[in-house]
Amino acid sequence: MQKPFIVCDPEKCTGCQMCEFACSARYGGYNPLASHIRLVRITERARPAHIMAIACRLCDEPTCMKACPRQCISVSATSGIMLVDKDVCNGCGWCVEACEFGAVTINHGERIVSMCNLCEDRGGRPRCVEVCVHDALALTTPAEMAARRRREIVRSGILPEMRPALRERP
Amino acid sequence: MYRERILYVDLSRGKSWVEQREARQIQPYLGGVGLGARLLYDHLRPGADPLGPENVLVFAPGPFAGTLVPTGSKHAVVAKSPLTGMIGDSLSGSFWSHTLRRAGYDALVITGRAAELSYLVIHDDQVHLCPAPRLAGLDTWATEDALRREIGSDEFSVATIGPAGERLVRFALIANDRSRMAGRTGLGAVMGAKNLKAIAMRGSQTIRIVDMATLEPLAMELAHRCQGPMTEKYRGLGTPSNVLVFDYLRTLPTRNYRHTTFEGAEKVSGEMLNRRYVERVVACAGCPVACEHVAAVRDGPYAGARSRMDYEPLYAVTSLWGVDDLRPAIRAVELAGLAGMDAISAGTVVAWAMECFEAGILTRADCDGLEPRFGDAAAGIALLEKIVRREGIGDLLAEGTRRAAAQVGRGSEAFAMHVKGLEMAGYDPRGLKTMALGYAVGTRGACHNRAPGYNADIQGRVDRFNGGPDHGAALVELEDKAALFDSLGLCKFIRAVFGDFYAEVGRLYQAVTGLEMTPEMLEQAGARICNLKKAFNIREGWVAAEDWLPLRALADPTPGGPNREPLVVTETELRAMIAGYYAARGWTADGLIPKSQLIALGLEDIARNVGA
Repeated sequence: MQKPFIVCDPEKCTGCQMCEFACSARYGGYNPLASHIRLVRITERARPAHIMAIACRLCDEPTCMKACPRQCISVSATSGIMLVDKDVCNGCGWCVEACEFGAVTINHGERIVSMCNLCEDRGGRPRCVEVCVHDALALTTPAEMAARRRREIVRSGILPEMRPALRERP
Repeated sequence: MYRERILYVDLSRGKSWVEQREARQIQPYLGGVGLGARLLYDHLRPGADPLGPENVLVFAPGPFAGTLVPTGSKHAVVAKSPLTGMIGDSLSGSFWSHTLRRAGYDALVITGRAAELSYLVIHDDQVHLCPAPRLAGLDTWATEDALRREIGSDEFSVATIGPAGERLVRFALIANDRSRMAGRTGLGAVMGAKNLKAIAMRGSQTIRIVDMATLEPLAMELAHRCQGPMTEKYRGLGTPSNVLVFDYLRTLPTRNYRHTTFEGAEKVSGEMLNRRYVERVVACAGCPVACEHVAAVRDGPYAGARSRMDYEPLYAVTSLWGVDDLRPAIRAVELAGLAGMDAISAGTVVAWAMECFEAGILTRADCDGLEPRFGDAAAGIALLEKIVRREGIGDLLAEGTRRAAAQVGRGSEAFAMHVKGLEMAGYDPRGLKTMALGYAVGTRGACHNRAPGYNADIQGRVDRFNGGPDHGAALVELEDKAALFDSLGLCKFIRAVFGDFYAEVGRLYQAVTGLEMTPEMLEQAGARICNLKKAFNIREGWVAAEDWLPLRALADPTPGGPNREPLVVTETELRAMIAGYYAARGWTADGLIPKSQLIALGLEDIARNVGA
């Protein structure tokens, strides 16, 4: 069964970067490069901006784990987070390359990989979700996310196919 | 914590070096505009040509940049302005601001002039000056893309000028992270004159916090307050909601300030913009408010235009031109942003040209075959394009309203809407008397951000229709507080979410830097920074006659109507307000700063230079 992970709703995300700051604070200061959740902004002139944040998606068959030549990544049986054996990892970066979502970072200080652990050390209350004032981030499964979307879109009365007509309403 | 390092780059010699500066030496100026003004004062030769290699271009983030403090990721750009010949200080924000701090610096000071068009790459301690004539003429977005491609990394943040800056348009700006801009006072022309096209930066260091356990709850409490009613305007319709409010208040600049209400206001209102054109709302890095309303045009001759839309650029290409259509407005603001020029100044100089044409002062031949009349958006946009290229009449308009009017003469000075050379912002002064005073005495010219007098007027703290000495004290308080926001690198859009601003900001500052910051110290810092900027202007030859308003505000009453009197600023009331302001500042009747006051503010060296 799919375990819950940090999901970002791109319709609500404003790209404010508070999640990156807050996540990185675990290292005693602020540094987006050390954050386990990373913000992506793609702005091109010809189309609306794409903005969202990405963290480890707790894959059932993690490519990071398969790619590690030292077998230092394993999956937690309880929460599904990726566990990194810090004594074995040498920061080679194969897992960084292998992750399809770009969700693995190398901690600059320790030169070992790090991934979202759903703030297990904070009692499982993910800090990024706490600081997301726009409610774009949630600890949830894709199925729950879809259910939430369905409820929201019905409540709003605006289905995507209705939007152009509404926009042009004088 | 402060980084306690200032990076200097001399473009003429292609050299860079780092100066250690203790946090205690930075603290009196806080950062941002305050620190930038201090560095400019220290390093600029008085009388230097703003567009010569001697001008000093300072980039300074605030002490909160790169932290969880809401809206703290802003930076100031400071240099001698090519538009006013006085202090030019402009703010921008987002990724570039905190990247400079994470690269290890509290400020970047650029002097000299590169031999050919170049860009700077700063990656922590590595600083490279790269010749790049191939970037010539690229717009601000294309330059960002080109640099990331060239450097081979998407993780660089870029600050850049557009073609307007390269061609020394006197109101050119410096853009960063796509649509954030240090817009006013022509600092893009300063960068262009230095042959510096862009600065690409990456910072990998961690911003250390002295007291994280105190900071995080304070910052988040503030962030949650930022979701409340005090920021609703910015999150909801955005600043364009001003259009209908200002039309109602009779302070919406219309047809180059001939009128202060606009019959087409509803068609260019924030309501209309959001209903028809806004497709996305975006935040600056580090900001929980999110005010940037991105609008796109889907039909008509301007289909495909897409731009961030805020009130100031919007009024400057709609009501100010007598244009009641948002589609060309979105195109015009997009054009200004891509070309890298201040839409307020550009819109105002075009409105001046429209009035000159209608008055017969400029002819069709003068305008290269165009007939720029009020209401003609296409002609306005054509003039903007000519300004960017400095082609034909565009070459004249690119000099700014003051210089253009001086050159054309024949009465056109009477409707050149600037103070000290800086074009007025979107608040007509005739119905907002503290604003009128702020325009007149502001150190960077007719500005709504450094001298935000409208706050006192609109909130009813003073009589907005009748100016007097009390308006002076009201303005001093607002200016000092604005200086704190601009130096701490906080956004003024959250000014109303604070309960006790001085106490709360003091606690944040202490938690971040470890340095004591009492409310009294903050208040004094605000006064210190305002006096420092004024001292810079005095050293550059400021004279009291420059603290005045354009003739139209004094001589042309706004049209009255049923139940409303015509509005005007009288010379007597302006004089009374200015006298009240100088007195509230503790300055002499001639607007000079007594030596004793500068010494009391800890500016002994400046007291020796310019103290009265």
